[in-house]
This record gives sequence, structure tokens and C-alpha cells, in this order.
Amino acid sequence: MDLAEKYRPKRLRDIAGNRKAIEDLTDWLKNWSAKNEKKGVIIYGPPGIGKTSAALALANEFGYDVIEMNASDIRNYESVRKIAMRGAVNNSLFGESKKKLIILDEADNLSGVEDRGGIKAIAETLEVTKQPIILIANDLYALTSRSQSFSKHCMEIRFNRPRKEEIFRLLKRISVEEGIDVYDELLIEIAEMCNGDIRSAIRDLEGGDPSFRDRKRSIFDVLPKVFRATDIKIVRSELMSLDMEPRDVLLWIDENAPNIFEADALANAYNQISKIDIYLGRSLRKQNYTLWRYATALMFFGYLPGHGARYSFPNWLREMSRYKGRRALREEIIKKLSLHASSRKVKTEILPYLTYMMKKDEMLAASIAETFELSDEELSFLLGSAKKVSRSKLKNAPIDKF
Amino acid sequence: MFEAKGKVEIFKRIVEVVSVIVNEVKFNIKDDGFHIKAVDPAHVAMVELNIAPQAFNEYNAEDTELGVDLDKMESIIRLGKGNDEMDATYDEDSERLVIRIGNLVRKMTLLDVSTMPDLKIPNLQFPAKVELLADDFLLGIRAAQSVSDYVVLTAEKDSFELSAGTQEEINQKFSKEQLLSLECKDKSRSLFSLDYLSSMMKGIRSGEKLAIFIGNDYPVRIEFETLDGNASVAYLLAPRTEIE
Repeated sequence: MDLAEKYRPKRLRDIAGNRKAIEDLTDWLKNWSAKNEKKGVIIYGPPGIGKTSAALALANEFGYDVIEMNASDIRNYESVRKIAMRGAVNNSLFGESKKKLIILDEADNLSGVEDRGGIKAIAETLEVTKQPIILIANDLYALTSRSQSFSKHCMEIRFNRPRKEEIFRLLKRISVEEGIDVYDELLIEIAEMCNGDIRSAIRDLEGGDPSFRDRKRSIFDVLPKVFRATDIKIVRSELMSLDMEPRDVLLWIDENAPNIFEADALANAYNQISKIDIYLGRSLRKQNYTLWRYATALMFFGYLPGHGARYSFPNWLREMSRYKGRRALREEIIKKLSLHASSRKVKTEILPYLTYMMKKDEMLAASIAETFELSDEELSFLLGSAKKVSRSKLKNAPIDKF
Repeated sequence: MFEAKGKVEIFKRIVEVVSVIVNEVKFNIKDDGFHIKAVDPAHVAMVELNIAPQAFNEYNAEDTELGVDLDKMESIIRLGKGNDEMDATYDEDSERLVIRIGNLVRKMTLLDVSTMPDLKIPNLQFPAKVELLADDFLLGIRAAQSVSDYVVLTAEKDSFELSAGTQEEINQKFSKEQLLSLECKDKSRSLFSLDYLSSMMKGIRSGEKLAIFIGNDYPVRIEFETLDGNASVAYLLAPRTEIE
């Protein structure tokens, strides 16, 4: 049971702190008219402090039907127009029909190929909307810097971290109602450690132990233990307190092992790394994450005396994120090509030949692009061309010669 | 338990009628037929579809709820011709929908219905009801699309009118005699987005009879029967927001 969701406040007065912000928000909605310039509002501030809850409670209290889009939705140009903009100019079938609140959560978090054009569609929606819109963001500047419409059409309301006393009171109430048997001292500790993040505080209460999720523990604290601790128990508790998946921990180990071990010891280390990889692979394939414990149990290399090495960031992760856009583009192409074959087959067996053939023969490239409705950008990607290739241009070029 | 055999055409119609509103939908299957209610993600349009068991050649069902991705379903159905026989069975062990067309078998995974709550159809009272042929209405909608992105529907005591545009205008007026029927208590006028109306028209076939219920700045309800009267469809659409 997700307690953070269960105890999401339904009324504005149950939101922790932020009285002035909530007052501003309420005034904005009460005075809202489609003729106002500020047809939207941006609620911004750190995660887990009640921004989304405030928006939902506002809708609930004033009887508005909610249209919500958040990071789990695809938010490209088409889908934002289809949901947010259509919602913005039409009445709702529910609630008091005319009253509809459009909430775009994590609005500073639109990125990549998947959300292409989303920002543009949100800006266009703000221009034409006949219904109030709330944008929610962690980083105000990351949002407003992407389109002038945001500052022009939105009031900006900052939410602050609630005080730890308020979080303590909330945790106390939840623990009583849920029958969680816990000392006040521990609740105080959770309230202090969460740094204002109510959502993670409640998750910690659910987990029952704040040290389980110590946000201060980083990979740089844990790696030395992995490589140098004398006791496997220490390593295990360090790994437990690290908020990182074993797969990523393994990448760190793999990256840094050559700087730490020499010759035979290095060979042994790689042997161990490959075993960890096997367990992680199996747990992923079988979706059986209890196998993780075998992988993490192997993340222990025995005591090794020596210098304090400098640990470096896994190159693999860096390269993967650098080519994120290109990979997404390639996946998109593969999806389009995978009509009669699995996407794996297309990726390994078909795409390489196809790419080669297309580079050799422009006419073929054009007809393939036509058949599979590849965009100009996807076509350029396949042809490995730095500048944009246009489908129509490609097709016309050879014909003109006749 | 659920098993139905019938022409591919029937399943095509289901997908056609519902997919203009939403792509993921819950089929409520009972011994008295198929029931589908779905709303679009912007909460502006809704579809209600009921199909009687008589639509099928064979029909065998106890209460079953299936979460269906209509895009997936469409991808298999389009491989069959309208008159081909199709068989749809729910395999409870693997929790998949098995679709057979000739010797082609498609096993389809389903969506989790626990995240798809039953919809409440809003309780609406309409002051006006118009009946006309789909083709007549479709003509007006097509014409309106060329001049505007919304249309005004107006019903009066003895006429029904469709108009659109401000500079470039389109107007289509039906007298009472040109309609199949007209009942109107008070003058009723509402604005509707054409992108919704025109996609709903894709779910309607030529020759079908429409019953259109309207009100004043109020949703519209468009009803029709299809599959030889064995299925009834209703679309609901909220009006454009007008600024006072």
C-alpha cells in the first residue's frame, strides 16, 4: 500500500505549510477568467513538498474536473494537443461541466524524442485556453527559459519545504491511524532527515527505518567498502543504504576495478564481476529480483590494503546518455520496420543491410522511407548524413534527370 | 467465460466506433451481450456501445471484463475480410484473448482492468431531439470543416440548423419536413469542436439513422443503430467553452 498516495491531502487546509502560496493559488482560481492574461499558474519548488497535492486539492474543493498529464504520459506535440488543448477549449462531461482544471505535472521534465514538441504544444494551449491551467515544476527557470509564453501567461507561485515539526505531526498522525508501532524519536529523526520531502518521509515510515534510505550515502562512500572492507556484513549494509540499482553499482565496480587490482587479482576480480553480471541478467530475464541478493553478495572483494584510489564515473553510462537521443531515434525506426519480424531481428539482422543498401541507392532509400513513413530526421539518421535529408527531395532528385 | 463467433465485420465495427474516442477500453461482457463505455482522456467525448448476442453467429458468455488495446485488435482484424468468420475466445489460464480468422490465430495480452473504473454516464436532460439520415448530417460537418474548427447546432420548433464560420460561412438548414422527426420544447443552441464531431462521423456509416439530442450550451448526444439493429451506439460530446 502506498501510504504517500493514501494520505495525499484532499483539502487545501491539510497541505503542510505554504499558507501564503495556497492563498495566492486560491485567489488566482477565484478571479480566473478566460480574459485574464494570467490564464495559467506555475507552482514550483523541490520534490515531495505538496505541489501536486495542492493542485488536486484545489480542484477538489472548488468542484473542478481534472485533466492531468504527468511524466508517465507521452507528452509530445500531438498528445499534448489531443489531451490538454482539447480539454482547454471544450467543456467537460463531468463535474460542473464548465469547470475544468488542467494540470501538467513535472512540466520542466519534458525532454528527449518522446516528448518532442510538447513544450510548444503547452505554450499554444496557454494562448488559447478557456480553462485554468496549472503547470508544476521543480526548476522554474528550466521551464520558463523554454518559451516566453510561460512567463507571459502564468503567475509564478513558489512552494517551500515544510518545517520538520509539521512533517513530524503528519508522520505521527499516519503512524497512529495505520497502527504502526514506532517511537517518537524515530519519527523526529525521519522528519529531520527527509529535508522537507514529505513523500520520502512517508516512504521511510513505511520502510520502518530511516537509515534504510539514507540520502547522504553516495556511491563514493560505498565503493571503498566494496573494495576494502574486511567484513561482508559491512558491505551488505552499505549497499542496502545506497539508493542505486545493483546493475549500476556493478558498472561502477567494473569501471574502477583496473585502478585497484593488479595482474592475478584483477583477473579474479573480473571473474567475480562476470558472475555478478550473470545473476543480474537472470534476475532481469526471469523478473525474479530475489536473485539480486546473490549478485550483491558477490560485491565483496576481500580486504585490500593500499592507497585511496580516485573513483571514476562509469564510461558506459556516460556514453549511453550521450547517445540517448540517437538511440531513441533508432528504436523509433526499428518500431516502424518491425511489421513482420521481431524488433530484435530487425535491429541485428535487417537494419545493418538495409542501411548499407540505402546508402548505395538513393531511389531505394526514398521508396523505403516512403513505405515505412520514415520522417526526414529518421532518414538522415539511417543515411548517416550530417545535414537533414528530405524524403521528397530524395525522391525527386533522380527523376529530374530523365 | 467468453466465446463469440461472427463475421469479421462485427469486430471491425466495434473497433471503428470506439477507437475514435479512445484506444484502450474495457469490454464488459455479459450473457446479454457486449457493453462498452469509454471517455476520451480530455473528458470531452464519450461512447456507449451495446451489442446484442444476436449480432453473432454463436455467443457464449458469463460476466467477464476484458481490457483491450484497440490498436492491437485492429491490426489483426484488418487482415480479414468483412465476410470472413472470426472467433474470439478468452483463455482464462493465460489471461489472453484468442482471435481466430481462418487458420490465423492471434493470442492477445490484455490490459489490467483494475485500473479501468466503470464510467458513470452523466445524467442529462435534453430539450430537443432531431432524427435525420447520417449522410445529411455528414455533409454539413464536412462543409463546416472547410471554414472553421467548430460548429453551431441550433434546434427550433420547426427547424434544425448547422452553421459554422465567421468571415467564411457555412449554413445548412433543415425544415421539419426534411427531417425524419423533430421535437423541440425550447430553442436550443450549442457549439461543438469539429475535430471531435468529424472523428465521430468516421464511426457512422452511410444510410444509418441518427438521433441527435441537443440543449442550450449543453452536451450533444448522437445515437444510432448498426449491425442490422443488433448494436446501439451513443456518442456524448461536451460543448465548446463559450466566454461570457
